[in-house]
Amino acid sequence: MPEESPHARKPIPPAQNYTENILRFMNEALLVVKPDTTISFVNNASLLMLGYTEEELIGKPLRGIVKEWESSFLHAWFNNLNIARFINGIEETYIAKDGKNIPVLFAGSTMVDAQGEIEGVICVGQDITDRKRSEVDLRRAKDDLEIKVKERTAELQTSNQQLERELTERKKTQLALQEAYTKLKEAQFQLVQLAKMEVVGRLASGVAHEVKNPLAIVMQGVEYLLKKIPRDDPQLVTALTSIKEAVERADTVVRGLLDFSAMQRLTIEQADLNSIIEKSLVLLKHMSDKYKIEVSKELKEDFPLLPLDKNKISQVLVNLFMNAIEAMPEGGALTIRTYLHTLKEFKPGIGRRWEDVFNLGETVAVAEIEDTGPGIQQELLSKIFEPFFTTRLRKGGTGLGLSIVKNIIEMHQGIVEIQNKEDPALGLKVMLLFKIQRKDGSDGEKEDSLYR
Amino acid sequence: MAKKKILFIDDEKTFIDLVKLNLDESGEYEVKAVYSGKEGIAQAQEFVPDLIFCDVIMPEMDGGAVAQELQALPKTEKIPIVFLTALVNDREMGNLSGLIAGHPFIAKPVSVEELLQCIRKNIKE
Repeated sequence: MPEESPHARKPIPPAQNYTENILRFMNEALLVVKPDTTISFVNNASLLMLGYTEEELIGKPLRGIVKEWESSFLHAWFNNLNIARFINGIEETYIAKDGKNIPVLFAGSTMVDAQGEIEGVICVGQDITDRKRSEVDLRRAKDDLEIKVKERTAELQTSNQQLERELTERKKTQLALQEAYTKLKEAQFQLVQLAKMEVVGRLASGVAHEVKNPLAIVMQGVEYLLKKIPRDDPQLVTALTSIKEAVERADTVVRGLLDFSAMQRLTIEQADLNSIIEKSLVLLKHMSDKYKIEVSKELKEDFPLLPLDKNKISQVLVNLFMNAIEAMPEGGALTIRTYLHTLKEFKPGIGRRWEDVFNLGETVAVAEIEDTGPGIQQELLSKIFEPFFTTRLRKGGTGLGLSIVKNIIEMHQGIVEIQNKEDPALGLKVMLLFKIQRKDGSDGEKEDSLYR
Repeated sequence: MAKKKILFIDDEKTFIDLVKLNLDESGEYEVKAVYSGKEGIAQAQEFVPDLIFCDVIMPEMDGGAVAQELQALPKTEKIPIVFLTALVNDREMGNLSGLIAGHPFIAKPVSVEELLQCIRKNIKE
Protein backbone atom coordinates (compact mmCIF):
# COMPACT_ATOMS: atom_id res chain seq x y z
CA MET A 1 0.00 0.00 0.00
CA PRO A 2 1.32 3.47 -0.76
CA GLU A 3 2.29 5.42 2.27
CA GLU A 4 0.17 8.36 1.36
CA SER A 5 -3.27 8.43 -0.25
CA PRO A 6 -3.22 9.74 -3.82
CA HIS A 7 -6.22 11.90 -2.94
CA ALA A 8 -4.08 14.00 -0.64
CA ARG A 9 -1.66 15.42 -3.19
CA LYS A 10 -3.68 15.47 -6.37
CA PRO A 11 -0.72 16.15 -8.67
CA ILE A 12 -3.02 15.76 -11.71
CA PRO A 13 -5.91 18.12 -11.54
CA PRO A 14 -9.40 16.66 -11.71
CA ALA A 15 -10.80 16.33 -15.18
CA GLN A 16 -14.16 17.40 -16.38
CA ASN A 17 -14.83 13.94 -17.60
CA TYR A 18 -16.37 11.78 -14.88
CA THR A 19 -14.95 8.50 -16.14
CA GLU A 20 -11.46 9.97 -16.43
CA ASN A 21 -11.73 11.22 -12.85
CA ILE A 22 -12.44 7.69 -11.69
CA LEU A 23 -9.30 6.55 -13.45
CA ARG A 24 -7.21 9.40 -12.06
CA PHE A 25 -8.26 8.88 -8.46
CA MET A 26 -8.40 5.09 -8.21
CA ASN A 27 -6.06 3.57 -5.61
CA GLU A 28 -4.21 1.21 -7.93
CA ALA A 29 -1.43 2.56 -10.17
CA LEU A 30 -2.86 2.68 -13.69
CA LEU A 31 -0.77 2.98 -16.82
CA VAL A 32 -2.15 2.77 -20.31
CA VAL A 33 0.46 1.69 -22.81
CA LYS A 34 0.45 1.71 -26.59
CA PRO A 35 1.23 -1.53 -28.45
CA ASP A 36 4.80 -0.15 -28.93
CA THR A 37 5.02 -0.14 -25.07
CA THR A 38 5.20 3.62 -24.64
CA ILE A 39 3.04 5.03 -21.88
CA SER A 40 0.01 7.05 -23.03
CA PHE A 41 -1.86 7.53 -19.76
CA VAL A 42 -1.04 7.55 -16.05
CA ASN A 43 -3.09 8.17 -12.92
CA ASN A 44 -2.26 9.79 -9.60
CA ALA A 45 -1.48 6.50 -7.89
CA SER A 46 1.18 5.73 -10.55
CA LEU A 47 2.83 9.11 -10.12
CA LEU A 48 2.84 8.75 -6.36
CA MET A 49 4.22 5.24 -6.52
CA LEU A 50 6.96 5.91 -9.10
CA GLY A 51 7.86 9.50 -8.14
CA TYR A 52 7.68 10.78 -11.73
CA THR A 53 5.58 13.63 -13.07
CA GLU A 54 2.90 12.93 -15.65
CA GLU A 55 5.04 14.62 -18.29
CA GLU A 56 8.04 12.49 -17.46
CA LEU A 57 6.05 9.31 -17.86
CA ILE A 58 3.92 9.98 -20.94
CA GLY A 59 5.78 8.62 -23.94
CA LYS A 60 8.30 6.74 -21.78
CA PRO A 61 8.70 3.05 -22.72
CA LEU A 62 7.72 0.47 -20.18
CA ARG A 63 11.26 -0.95 -20.16
CA GLY A 64 12.19 2.16 -18.15
CA ILE A 65 10.01 1.28 -15.22
CA VAL A 66 9.71 -2.55 -15.32
CA LYS A 67 12.67 -4.22 -13.74
CA GLU A 68 14.60 -6.60 -15.96
CA TRP A 69 12.21 -5.89 -18.79
CA GLU A 70 13.77 -8.27 -21.26
CA SER A 71 13.21 -11.26 -19.04
CA SER A 72 9.95 -10.09 -17.51
CA PHE A 73 6.65 -11.82 -17.98
CA LEU A 74 5.17 -8.48 -19.08
CA HIS A 75 7.57 -8.24 -22.02
CA ALA A 76 6.63 -11.74 -23.10
CA TRP A 77 2.97 -10.84 -22.89
CA PHE A 78 3.44 -7.69 -24.97
CA ASN A 79 4.93 -9.88 -27.68
CA ASN A 80 1.82 -12.02 -27.68
CA LEU A 81 -1.02 -9.60 -27.05
CA ASN A 82 -3.09 -11.08 -29.84
CA ILE A 83 -3.07 -14.48 -28.23
CA ALA A 84 -3.61 -13.56 -24.58
CA ARG A 85 -5.93 -10.59 -24.27
CA PHE A 86 -5.52 -10.22 -20.52
CA ILE A 87 -3.34 -11.36 -17.69
CA ASN A 88 -3.95 -11.28 -13.97
CA GLY A 89 -2.15 -11.86 -10.70
CA ILE A 90 1.35 -11.47 -12.15
CA GLU A 91 4.02 -10.23 -9.83
CA GLU A 92 6.39 -7.67 -11.39
CA THR A 93 8.77 -5.12 -10.02
CA TYR A 94 8.53 -1.41 -10.98
CA ILE A 95 11.54 0.87 -10.61
CA ALA A 96 10.73 4.27 -9.11
CA LYS A 97 12.48 7.39 -10.24
CA ASP A 98 14.76 7.24 -7.18
CA GLY A 99 15.72 3.68 -8.15
CA LYS A 100 13.66 2.04 -5.43
CA ASN A 101 12.17 -1.33 -6.32
CA ILE A 102 8.41 -1.57 -5.89
CA PRO A 103 6.84 -5.01 -6.07
CA VAL A 104 3.42 -4.93 -7.68
CA LEU A 105 0.60 -7.34 -8.31
CA PHE A 106 -0.03 -6.77 -11.95
CA ALA A 107 -3.25 -7.10 -14.02
CA GLY A 108 -3.43 -6.15 -17.67
CA SER A 109 -5.96 -6.18 -20.43
CA THR A 110 -5.91 -5.14 -24.09
CA MET A 111 -8.08 -2.37 -25.43
CA VAL A 112 -9.28 -2.67 -29.09
CA ASP A 113 -10.69 -0.07 -31.52
CA ALA A 114 -13.74 -0.32 -33.71
CA GLN A 115 -11.76 -2.33 -36.27
CA GLY A 116 -10.68 -4.84 -33.63
CA GLU A 117 -7.07 -3.61 -33.69
CA ILE A 118 -5.24 -3.39 -30.37
CA GLU A 119 -5.26 0.22 -29.41
CA GLY A 120 -3.57 0.02 -26.05
CA VAL A 121 -2.89 -2.01 -22.97
CA ILE A 122 -4.39 -1.16 -19.59
CA CYS A 123 -1.90 -1.94 -16.84
CA VAL A 124 -3.00 -1.94 -13.20
CA GLY A 125 -0.37 -2.38 -10.50
CA GLN A 126 -1.11 -2.85 -6.84
CA ASP A 127 1.77 -2.05 -4.51
CA ILE A 128 2.51 -5.22 -2.54
CA THR A 129 5.59 -3.97 -0.70
CA ASP A 130 4.00 -4.67 2.69
CA ARG A 131 2.84 -8.08 1.63
CA LYS A 132 6.31 -8.86 0.30
CA ARG A 133 7.88 -7.65 3.51
CA SER A 134 5.50 -9.89 5.46
CA GLU A 135 6.39 -12.71 3.11
CA VAL A 136 10.07 -12.12 3.71
CA ASP A 137 9.44 -11.94 7.43
CA LEU A 138 7.40 -15.07 7.19
CA ARG A 139 10.07 -16.83 5.18
CA ARG A 140 12.70 -15.69 7.61
CA ALA A 141 10.56 -16.92 10.48
CA LYS A 142 10.05 -20.13 8.57
CA ASP A 143 13.79 -20.42 7.97
CA ASP A 144 14.44 -19.68 11.63
CA LEU A 145 11.89 -22.27 12.53
CA GLU A 146 13.46 -24.75 10.18
CA ILE A 147 16.86 -24.06 11.66
CA LYS A 148 15.43 -24.51 15.11
CA VAL A 149 13.66 -27.68 14.04
CA LYS A 150 16.89 -28.93 12.54
CA GLU A 151 18.78 -28.04 15.69
CA ARG A 152 16.14 -29.68 17.82
CA THR A 153 16.10 -32.72 15.54
CA ALA A 154 19.86 -32.93 15.80
CA GLU A 155 19.60 -32.65 19.57
CA LEU A 156 16.92 -35.31 19.58
CA GLN A 157 19.06 -37.51 17.35
CA THR A 158 21.99 -37.05 19.69
CA SER A 159 19.95 -37.88 22.73
CA ASN A 160 18.37 -40.73 20.82
CA GLN A 161 21.80 -42.12 19.99
CA GLN A 162 22.77 -41.60 23.59
CA LEU A 163 19.68 -43.47 24.66
CA GLU A 164 20.41 -46.26 22.20
CA ARG A 165 23.93 -46.50 23.54
CA GLU A 166 22.59 -46.58 27.06
CA LEU A 167 20.04 -49.17 26.02
CA THR A 168 22.77 -51.32 24.48
CA GLU A 169 24.84 -50.89 27.63
CA ARG A 170 21.86 -51.77 29.73
CA LYS A 171 21.15 -54.84 27.61
CA LYS A 172 24.78 -55.87 28.01
CA THR A 173 24.55 -55.32 31.74
CA GLN A 174 21.30 -57.22 31.84
CA LEU A 175 22.87 -60.12 29.93
CA ALA A 176 25.87 -60.11 32.24
CA LEU A 177 23.51 -60.04 35.20
CA GLN A 178 21.51 -62.89 33.78
CA GLU A 179 24.69 -64.86 33.20
CA ALA A 180 25.85 -64.12 36.73
CA TYR A 181 22.44 -65.10 38.03
CA THR A 182 22.55 -68.40 36.13
CA LYS A 183 26.02 -69.09 37.49
CA LEU A 184 24.85 -68.22 40.96
CA LYS A 185 21.92 -70.58 40.56
CA GLU A 186 24.25 -73.34 39.42
CA ALA A 187 26.60 -72.69 42.30
CA GLN A 188 23.67 -72.64 44.67
CA PHE A 189 22.39 -75.90 43.20
CA GLN A 190 25.80 -77.47 43.60
CA LEU A 191 26.07 -76.21 47.16
CA VAL A 192 22.67 -77.64 47.93
CA GLN A 193 23.74 -80.93 46.34
CA LEU A 194 26.92 -80.88 48.37
CA ALA A 195 25.03 -80.06 51.53
CA LYS A 196 22.56 -82.84 50.76
CA MET A 197 25.40 -85.30 50.30
CA GLU A 198 27.05 -84.21 53.53
CA VAL A 199 23.80 -84.65 55.36
CA VAL A 200 23.30 -88.02 53.72
CA GLY A 201 26.82 -88.96 54.74
CA ARG A 202 26.35 -87.93 58.35
CA LEU A 203 22.94 -89.52 58.53
CA ALA A 204 24.13 -92.73 56.95
CA SER A 205 26.36 -93.85 59.82
CA GLY A 206 23.75 -93.08 62.42
CA VAL A 207 20.94 -94.64 60.44
CA ALA A 208 23.02 -97.70 59.60
CA HIS A 209 23.72 -98.42 63.25
CA GLU A 210 20.15 -97.84 64.34
CA VAL A 211 18.69 -99.85 61.46
CA LYS A 212 21.17 -102.67 61.17
CA ASN A 213 20.79 -103.74 64.82
CA PRO A 214 17.02 -104.25 64.60
CA LEU A 215 17.53 -105.91 61.21
CA ALA A 216 19.98 -108.28 62.84
CA ILE A 217 17.39 -109.12 65.50
CA VAL A 218 14.69 -109.73 62.87
CA MET A 219 17.09 -111.91 60.90
CA GLN A 220 18.00 -114.05 63.89
CA GLY A 221 14.37 -114.24 65.02
CA VAL A 222 13.13 -115.32 61.60
CA GLU A 223 15.81 -117.99 61.34
CA TYR A 224 14.90 -119.32 64.75
CA LEU A 225 11.21 -119.44 63.84
CA LEU A 226 12.01 -121.12 60.52
CA LYS A 227 13.59 -123.96 62.47
CA LYS A 228 10.76 -124.18 64.98
CA ILE A 229 7.63 -124.04 62.79
CA PRO A 230 6.07 -127.22 61.44
CA ARG A 231 7.57 -128.00 58.03
CA ASP A 232 4.17 -128.96 56.64
CA ASP A 233 2.86 -125.40 56.84
CA PRO A 234 4.10 -123.87 53.57
CA GLN A 235 2.32 -120.55 54.17
CA LEU A 236 4.23 -119.94 57.39
CA VAL A 237 7.47 -120.82 55.63
CA THR A 238 6.66 -118.42 52.80
CA ALA A 239 5.83 -115.62 55.21
CA LEU A 240 9.06 -116.06 57.17
CA THR A 241 11.15 -116.39 54.01
CA SER A 242 9.61 -113.14 52.75
CA ILE A 243 10.56 -111.41 55.99
CA LYS A 244 14.12 -112.69 55.65
CA GLU A 245 14.33 -111.40 52.06
CA ALA A 246 12.96 -108.03 53.16
CA VAL A 247 15.66 -107.80 55.81
CA GLU A 248 18.30 -108.54 53.18
CA ARG A 249 16.84 -105.87 50.91
CA ALA A 250 16.79 -103.28 53.67
CA ASP A 251 20.37 -104.20 54.49
CA THR A 252 21.39 -103.56 50.86
CA VAL A 253 19.93 -100.06 51.06
CA VAL A 254 21.69 -99.29 54.32
CA ARG A 255 24.98 -100.59 52.95
CA GLY A 256 24.53 -98.30 49.93
CA LEU A 257 24.13 -95.38 52.30
CA LEU A 258 27.24 -96.40 54.19
CA ASP A 259 29.19 -96.59 50.94
CA PHE A 260 28.02 -93.11 50.21
CA SER A 261 29.21 -91.82 53.55
CA ALA A 262 32.54 -93.61 53.17
CA MET A 263 33.23 -91.67 50.00
CA GLN A 264 35.34 -88.95 51.53
CA ARG A 265 38.55 -90.94 52.02
CA LEU A 266 40.95 -92.35 49.42
CA THR A 267 43.96 -94.59 49.83
CA ILE A 268 46.05 -93.73 46.82
CA GLU A 269 48.86 -95.88 45.45
CA GLN A 270 50.46 -96.37 42.03
CA ALA A 271 48.20 -99.06 40.63
CA ASP A 272 47.74 -101.09 37.46
CA LEU A 273 44.30 -100.26 36.10
CA ASN A 274 44.31 -103.31 33.82
CA SER A 275 44.77 -105.69 36.73
CA ILE A 276 42.01 -103.94 38.73
CA ILE A 277 39.75 -104.48 35.73
CA GLU A 278 40.69 -108.18 35.50
CA LYS A 279 40.03 -108.72 39.22
CA SER A 280 36.72 -106.85 39.11
CA LEU A 281 35.59 -108.97 36.17
CA VAL A 282 36.38 -112.16 38.13
CA LEU A 283 34.04 -110.97 40.89
CA LEU A 284 31.21 -110.78 38.38
CA LYS A 285 31.97 -113.91 36.39
CA HIS A 286 29.01 -115.83 37.81
CA MET A 287 26.73 -112.96 36.84
CA SER A 288 28.03 -112.50 33.30
CA ASP A 289 27.82 -116.28 32.76
CA LYS A 290 24.26 -116.35 34.07
CA TYR A 291 23.18 -113.55 31.72
CA LYS A 292 25.12 -115.07 28.80
CA ILE A 293 27.27 -111.97 28.35
CA GLU A 294 30.21 -112.16 26.00
CA VAL A 295 32.97 -110.25 27.75
CA SER A 296 35.87 -108.97 25.66
CA LYS A 297 38.89 -107.05 26.85
CA GLU A 298 41.02 -104.72 24.78
CA LEU A 299 43.50 -103.68 27.45
CA LYS A 300 46.51 -101.71 26.31
CA GLU A 301 49.81 -103.35 27.10
CA ASP A 302 52.47 -101.52 29.11
CA PHE A 303 49.81 -99.25 30.53
CA PRO A 304 51.33 -96.69 32.92
CA LEU A 305 50.71 -97.09 36.65
CA LEU A 306 48.09 -94.62 37.84
CA PRO A 307 47.55 -92.93 41.22
CA LEU A 308 44.42 -94.85 42.28
CA ASP A 309 42.58 -96.18 45.30
CA LYS A 310 42.43 -99.81 44.12
CA ASN A 311 39.43 -100.77 46.22
CA LYS A 312 37.36 -97.75 45.27
CA ILE A 313 38.17 -98.08 41.57
CA SER A 314 37.25 -101.74 41.79
CA GLN A 315 33.96 -100.68 43.37
CA VAL A 316 33.40 -98.27 40.48
CA LEU A 317 34.14 -100.94 37.90
CA VAL A 318 31.98 -103.59 39.58
CA ASN A 319 29.16 -101.05 39.73
CA LEU A 320 29.50 -100.19 36.04
CA PHE A 321 29.87 -103.82 34.96
CA MET A 322 26.78 -104.75 36.95
CA ASN A 323 24.78 -101.92 35.37
CA ALA A 324 25.91 -103.05 31.93
CA ILE A 325 25.11 -106.71 32.58
CA GLU A 326 21.71 -105.92 34.05
CA ALA A 327 20.94 -103.83 30.97
CA MET A 328 21.31 -106.98 28.85
CA PRO A 329 19.02 -109.59 30.46
CA GLU A 330 18.71 -111.39 27.12
CA GLY A 331 22.48 -111.59 26.72
CA GLY A 332 24.83 -109.30 24.84
CA ALA A 333 28.39 -108.12 24.64
CA LEU A 334 30.43 -106.23 27.24
CA THR A 335 33.64 -104.68 25.98
CA ILE A 336 36.27 -103.13 28.22
CA ARG A 337 39.09 -101.09 26.72
CA THR A 338 41.99 -99.18 28.15
CA TYR A 339 44.06 -96.73 26.15
CA LEU A 340 45.86 -93.40 26.29
CA HIS A 341 44.13 -90.46 24.70
CA THR A 342 45.20 -86.88 24.00
CA LEU A 343 42.33 -84.46 24.68
CA LYS A 344 41.54 -82.27 21.70
CA GLU A 345 37.96 -81.17 22.37
CA PHE A 346 36.49 -78.67 24.84
CA LYS A 347 34.05 -80.47 27.10
CA PRO A 348 32.75 -80.01 30.62
CA GLY A 349 35.84 -80.27 32.80
CA ILE A 350 38.20 -80.20 29.81
CA GLY A 351 39.59 -76.85 28.71
CA ARG A 352 41.93 -74.10 29.78
CA ARG A 353 40.23 -72.69 32.85
CA TRP A 354 41.84 -73.26 36.21
CA GLU A 355 38.80 -75.18 37.42
CA ASP A 356 38.98 -77.62 34.53
CA VAL A 357 40.03 -81.12 35.54
CA PHE A 358 42.06 -81.67 32.38
CA ASN A 359 43.89 -79.29 30.10
CA LEU A 360 43.33 -79.34 26.41
CA GLY A 361 46.19 -81.29 24.83
CA GLU A 362 46.77 -83.34 27.98
CA THR A 363 47.19 -87.10 27.61
CA VAL A 364 44.92 -89.09 29.89
CA ALA A 365 44.35 -92.75 30.71
CA VAL A 366 40.93 -93.97 29.62
CA ALA A 367 38.91 -96.99 30.70
CA GLU A 368 35.95 -97.56 28.42
CA ILE A 369 33.01 -99.86 29.17
CA GLU A 370 30.63 -100.55 26.36
CA ASP A 371 27.49 -102.67 26.36
CA THR A 372 24.87 -103.66 23.81
CA GLY A 373 21.90 -102.97 26.08
CA PRO A 374 19.11 -100.50 25.29
CA GLY A 375 21.04 -97.37 26.41
CA ILE A 376 19.47 -94.62 28.48
CA GLN A 377 16.83 -92.16 27.38
CA GLN A 378 18.65 -89.01 26.28
CA GLU A 379 16.63 -86.76 28.61
CA LEU A 380 17.60 -88.89 31.60
CA LEU A 381 21.34 -88.79 30.86
CA SER A 382 21.85 -85.57 32.81
CA LYS A 383 20.19 -87.02 35.90
CA ILE A 384 21.84 -90.37 36.20
CA PHE A 385 24.61 -89.11 38.47
CA GLU A 386 22.20 -87.62 40.99
CA PRO A 387 21.98 -89.49 44.29
CA PHE A 388 18.77 -91.52 44.53
CA PHE A 389 18.08 -91.37 40.80
CA THR A 390 17.27 -94.90 39.64
CA THR A 391 15.53 -96.63 36.76
CA ARG A 392 15.31 -99.87 38.73
CA LEU A 393 13.37 -98.80 41.79
CA ARG A 394 11.11 -101.83 41.60
CA LYS A 395 14.03 -104.15 41.04
CA GLY A 396 15.78 -103.14 44.23
CA GLY A 397 17.95 -100.29 42.95
CA THR A 398 18.78 -97.68 45.58
CA GLY A 399 19.90 -95.06 43.11
CA LEU A 400 23.23 -94.53 44.80
CA GLY A 401 25.44 -96.51 42.41
CA LEU A 402 26.29 -93.94 39.75
CA SER A 403 26.45 -91.02 42.16
CA ILE A 404 29.07 -93.00 44.06
CA VAL A 405 30.90 -93.79 40.80
CA LYS A 406 31.01 -90.11 39.93
CA ASN A 407 32.09 -89.15 43.42
CA ILE A 408 34.95 -91.65 43.44
CA ILE A 409 36.18 -90.68 39.98
CA GLU A 410 36.06 -86.98 40.87
CA MET A 411 38.02 -87.65 44.05
CA HIS A 412 40.66 -89.16 41.76
CA GLN A 413 40.68 -85.86 39.81
CA GLY A 414 39.11 -87.73 36.92
CA ILE A 415 36.00 -87.46 34.77
CA VAL A 416 33.26 -89.96 34.05
CA GLU A 417 31.40 -89.59 30.78
CA ILE A 418 28.33 -91.55 29.83
CA GLN A 419 26.95 -91.45 26.33
CA ASN A 420 24.54 -93.39 24.24
CA LYS A 421 26.31 -94.76 21.23
CA GLU A 422 25.45 -93.06 17.94
CA ASP A 423 22.74 -95.60 17.31
CA PRO A 424 20.91 -95.71 20.66
CA ALA A 425 19.91 -99.31 19.98
CA LEU A 426 23.59 -100.17 20.22
CA GLY A 427 23.81 -99.50 23.92
CA LEU A 428 25.76 -97.34 26.25
CA LYS A 429 29.38 -96.31 26.54
CA VAL A 430 30.94 -95.20 29.83
CA MET A 431 34.36 -93.61 29.79
CA LEU A 432 36.53 -93.02 32.83
CA LEU A 433 39.30 -90.48 32.31
CA PHE A 434 42.23 -90.54 34.70
CA LYS A 435 45.20 -88.31 35.28
CA ILE A 436 48.50 -89.98 34.54
CA GLN A 437 50.06 -87.50 36.96
CA ARG A 438 48.26 -85.85 39.83
CA LYS A 439 47.30 -82.20 39.27
CA ASP A 440 50.01 -81.08 41.68
CA GLY A 441 52.57 -82.93 39.56
CA SER A 442 53.35 -85.59 42.16
CA ASP A 443 52.89 -89.28 41.51
CA GLY A 444 50.26 -89.37 44.21
CA GLU A 445 52.00 -91.57 46.75
CA LYS A 446 53.38 -88.69 48.79
CA GLU A 447 49.91 -87.20 49.00
CA ASP A 448 48.44 -90.29 50.59
CA SER A 449 47.99 -88.83 54.02
CA LEU A 450 45.83 -86.04 52.65
CA TYR A 451 43.39 -88.47 51.18
CA ARG A 452 43.08 -90.99 53.92
CA MET B 1 34.66 -134.30 73.08
CA ALA B 2 33.60 -131.22 74.94
CA LYS B 3 31.69 -128.60 73.05
CA LYS B 4 33.65 -125.52 71.96
CA LYS B 5 32.69 -122.42 73.91
CA ILE B 6 31.68 -119.08 72.47
CA LEU B 7 31.12 -115.79 74.30
CA PHE B 8 28.97 -113.01 72.83
CA ILE B 9 29.37 -109.43 74.12
CA ASP B 10 26.77 -107.01 72.78
CA ASP B 11 24.49 -104.38 74.33
CA GLU B 12 21.77 -105.44 71.84
CA LYS B 13 20.33 -107.96 74.29
CA THR B 14 17.57 -109.27 72.03
CA PHE B 15 20.02 -109.83 69.21
CA ILE B 16 22.49 -111.99 71.12
CA ASP B 17 19.70 -113.80 72.96
CA LEU B 18 18.34 -114.85 69.56
CA VAL B 19 21.84 -115.68 68.33
CA LYS B 20 22.27 -117.88 71.38
CA LEU B 21 18.91 -119.57 70.73
CA ASN B 22 19.92 -120.32 67.15
CA LEU B 23 23.36 -121.60 68.02
CA ASP B 24 21.98 -123.69 70.91
CA GLU B 25 19.60 -125.15 68.34
CA SER B 26 22.53 -126.29 66.20
CA GLY B 27 23.86 -128.08 69.27
CA GLU B 28 27.49 -127.68 68.21
CA TYR B 29 28.59 -125.00 70.67
CA GLU B 30 28.22 -123.89 74.24
CA VAL B 31 27.20 -120.26 74.04
CA LYS B 32 27.15 -117.50 76.64
CA ALA B 33 25.81 -113.98 76.09
CA VAL B 34 26.57 -110.87 78.13
CA TYR B 35 25.36 -107.32 77.56
CA SER B 36 28.28 -105.03 78.38
CA GLY B 37 32.03 -104.83 77.89
CA LYS B 38 32.82 -105.05 81.61
CA GLU B 39 30.58 -108.08 82.05
CA GLY B 40 32.24 -109.59 79.00
CA ILE B 41 35.77 -109.24 80.38
CA ALA B 42 34.72 -110.74 83.71
CA GLN B 43 32.80 -113.59 82.10
CA ALA B 44 35.70 -114.35 79.76
CA GLN B 45 37.99 -114.98 82.75
CA GLU B 46 35.59 -117.55 84.19
CA PHE B 47 34.18 -119.11 81.05
CA VAL B 48 37.45 -119.06 79.04
CA PRO B 49 35.77 -119.41 75.61
CA ASP B 50 37.37 -120.61 72.39
CA LEU B 51 36.03 -117.61 70.51
CA ILE B 52 34.66 -114.21 71.50
CA PHE B 53 32.22 -112.15 69.48
CA CYS B 54 32.23 -108.53 70.55
CA ASP B 55 30.10 -105.59 69.41
CA VAL B 56 32.03 -102.47 68.39
CA ILE B 57 29.77 -99.64 69.48
CA MET B 58 28.60 -100.08 73.06
CA PRO B 59 27.96 -97.60 75.88
CA GLU B 60 30.62 -97.20 78.60
CA MET B 61 33.24 -99.45 77.03
CA ASP B 62 33.49 -99.96 73.27
CA GLY B 63 34.61 -103.11 71.47
CA GLY B 64 38.14 -101.84 70.85
CA ALA B 65 38.77 -101.24 74.55
CA VAL B 66 37.27 -104.60 75.49
CA ALA B 67 39.54 -106.41 73.00
CA GLN B 68 42.59 -104.54 74.27
CA GLU B 69 41.87 -105.52 77.85
CA LEU B 70 41.12 -109.15 76.99
CA GLN B 71 44.44 -109.39 75.20
CA ALA B 72 46.22 -107.90 78.17
CA LEU B 73 44.89 -110.58 80.54
CA PRO B 74 46.83 -113.90 80.59
CA LYS B 75 43.69 -116.09 80.61
CA THR B 76 42.21 -114.49 77.55
CA GLU B 77 45.20 -113.18 75.63
CA LYS B 78 45.18 -116.08 73.12
CA ILE B 79 41.40 -116.18 72.54
CA PRO B 80 40.46 -115.04 69.03
CA ILE B 81 38.08 -112.11 68.89
CA VAL B 82 35.63 -111.35 66.07
CA PHE B 83 33.96 -107.98 66.00
CA LEU B 84 30.26 -107.67 65.36
CA THR B 85 29.44 -104.39 63.69
CA ALA B 86 26.51 -102.55 62.24
CA LEU B 87 28.81 -100.08 60.49
CA VAL B 88 30.36 -101.90 57.56
CA ASN B 89 29.87 -101.00 53.94
CA ASP B 90 30.03 -103.00 50.73
CA ARG B 91 33.68 -102.36 50.09
CA GLU B 92 34.76 -103.62 53.49
CA MET B 93 32.46 -106.61 53.08
CA GLY B 94 34.11 -107.52 49.79
CA ASN B 95 37.55 -106.99 51.19
CA LEU B 96 38.36 -110.32 52.85
CA SER B 97 41.47 -109.00 54.50
CA GLY B 98 39.38 -106.36 56.24
CA LEU B 99 40.20 -106.16 59.89
CA ILE B 100 39.15 -103.85 62.68
CA ALA B 101 42.05 -103.15 65.05
CA GLY B 102 43.70 -106.32 63.78
CA HIS B 103 40.63 -108.50 64.37
CA PRO B 104 38.26 -109.96 61.78
CA PHE B 105 34.72 -108.72 61.80
CA ILE B 106 31.26 -109.74 60.70
CA ALA B 107 28.56 -107.31 59.66
CA LYS B 108 25.04 -107.22 61.07
CA PRO B 109 22.50 -108.36 60.08
CA VAL B 110 24.04 -111.78 59.85
CA SER B 111 22.40 -115.09 58.97
CA VAL B 112 22.94 -118.19 61.08
CA GLU B 113 24.80 -119.82 58.21
CA GLU B 114 27.21 -116.90 57.89
CA LEU B 115 27.73 -116.95 61.63
CA LEU B 116 28.54 -120.66 61.61
CA GLN B 117 31.00 -120.20 58.76
CA CYS B 118 32.65 -117.37 60.64
CA ILE B 119 32.87 -119.47 63.83
CA ARG B 120 34.46 -122.40 61.97
CA LYS B 121 36.96 -120.13 60.38
CA ASN B 122 38.05 -118.28 63.50
CA ILE B 123 37.58 -120.61 66.47
CA LYS B 124 40.65 -121.70 68.42
CA GLU B 125 41.58 -125.29 67.54
